Amino acid sequence: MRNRLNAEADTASSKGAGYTIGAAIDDSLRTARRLAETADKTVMGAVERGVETAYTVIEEYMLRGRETARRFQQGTPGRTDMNEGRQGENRPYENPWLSAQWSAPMSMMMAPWMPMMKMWQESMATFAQGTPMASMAEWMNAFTPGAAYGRSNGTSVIVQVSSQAPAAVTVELDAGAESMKLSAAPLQHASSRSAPALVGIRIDSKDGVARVRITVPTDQPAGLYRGQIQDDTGMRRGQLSLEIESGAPAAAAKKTTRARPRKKA
Amino acid sequence: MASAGIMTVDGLVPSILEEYGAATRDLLFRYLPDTEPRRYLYDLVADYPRRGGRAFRPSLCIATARAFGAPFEAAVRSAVSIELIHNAMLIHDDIEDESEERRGKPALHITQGVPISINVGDMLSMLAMRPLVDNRTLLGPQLTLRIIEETERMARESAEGQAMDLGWRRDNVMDITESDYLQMVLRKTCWLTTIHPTRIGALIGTRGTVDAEPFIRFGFFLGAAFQIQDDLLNLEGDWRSYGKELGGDIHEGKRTLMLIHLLENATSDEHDRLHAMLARPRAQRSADDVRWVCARMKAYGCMDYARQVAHGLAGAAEHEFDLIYGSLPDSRDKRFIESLPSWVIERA
Repeated sequence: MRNRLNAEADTASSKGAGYTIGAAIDDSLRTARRLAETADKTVMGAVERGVETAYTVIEEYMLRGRETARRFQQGTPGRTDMNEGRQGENRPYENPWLSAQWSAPMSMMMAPWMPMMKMWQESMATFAQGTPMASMAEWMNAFTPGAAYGRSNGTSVIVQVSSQAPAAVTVELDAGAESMKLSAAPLQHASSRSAPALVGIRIDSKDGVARVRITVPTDQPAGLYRGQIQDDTGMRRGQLSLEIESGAPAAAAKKTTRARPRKKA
Repeated sequence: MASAGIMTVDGLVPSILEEYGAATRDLLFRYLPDTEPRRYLYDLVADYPRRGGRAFRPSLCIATARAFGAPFEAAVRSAVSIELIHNAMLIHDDIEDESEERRGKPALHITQGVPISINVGDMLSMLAMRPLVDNRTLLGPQLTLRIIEETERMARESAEGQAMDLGWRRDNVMDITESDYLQMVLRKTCWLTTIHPTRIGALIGTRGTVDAEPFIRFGFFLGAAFQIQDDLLNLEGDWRSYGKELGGDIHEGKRTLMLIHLLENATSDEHDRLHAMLARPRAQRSADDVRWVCARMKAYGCMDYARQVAHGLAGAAEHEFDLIYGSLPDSRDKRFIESLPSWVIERA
């Protein structure tokens, strides 16, 4: 069994060129000897036997998984019940699963959990195929037991706008983002490519509160502007929308404070 | 390459475990409902998480994500979910194993009874779903779905491993080999403890583009070394730091590497006595039985044997670490993961 597995593993492995199980065992044994010497109890037969047995176990496990994956790609059914949910995806697991003797007795914990997980998974798969995030959020909100989460924090945002024309602002921030170092990309006009982008937006985060400051130039065309809020790694953390109304300028600089946290932490 | 410093575990591992563990727990408690029924459910749900623990699993997830370039926030919800599932499994494992202590205190079912404890474990595992669903705002629906799929697989692998362990004990199977033991540990321990956290972390760090298969190999060697060391501590450890009754595995009839080695080397009479002892219900195994098994294990060098196997597996984990983390830029998180193979076999 050991030789067959080694041969298969060495030739069929998907780990790429240069990887052989024999070399891996040799390298592991060198390290193990070094570790064992420090323990001052050298039983090298145990180390070698243990490492070789372990490599045999894991390579057999991986090989069986790959064989299962190949069967799925060829459309050969080989799973039962709950496994069927994965047959539609082109990324089957490499998991060989266990033989029937061990698949029946599920632990007490798994029994109530797995059907719920499967339902979630299948429902999310429906949305993951191109449905906008907003629809996803609405769908998920139906399941949110908001009232039960008494200690949850809403997202705290203060918005300050200086504008000659009336303006309304919507800020959507990911939970926890108010504590990060944030910046806003230039806001682009939603319907006019010729309109200049709105720049110079400042976001300061302090004490768990994000403060957004927007100064609208007097000649900025009216309309809806949108832009992304990102953290200092460039990861998207939310969205900023500003609607400048047309018509008479405001009597004074208008200060609008409106924050709409997208989710609870 | 594994550095020469791998021989000594400095303060990096405990430092990161403390840092990421505290951050994980902070968010975890915000996912625990503060509502009724408190006495029979929600106060108890918080019991095991409040007892502490090393937070090894969530820390490994966060560190892997960061080593691959993700910010902390991108991984912390998955880490919370892992810790919640771990605590849920502990409650049920304690019932199934008839364990009496957990993290230095009576196990939940000892103080609250089995029915309520099962329900608390169920609730904890359900609560683990919410942070995974919340991932969608930061990670997007595709990666969120992938992580849920990964969690489903981990849960199944863990239950299958637990089934093997429980089945061997119920049927008093005596011809378990080292290979059988490692197959059981691969599923029961390694998937939740090391494979799943590293796969999730790497998927987050690469936005789902990494080949997750090599993490099974790395996680297996690391997790198996972890489990063997844990079994050794159950026999030889310090009660205060171990947090469970010493010798409990023998009492529970667990098929550990030491027991398997003993069964392979015992005389016919000793084998018969072991068989008779393990055939009895846990309550009928005495402290004298446990002492006798311990003495036989020492006489046959079972602890030394298991310790050497753990060293070998740690060496294999180092080798696999180089293959999947070696090309990443140096970072505190990468060094933390690199230190783990030696840490798991040196921890007390």
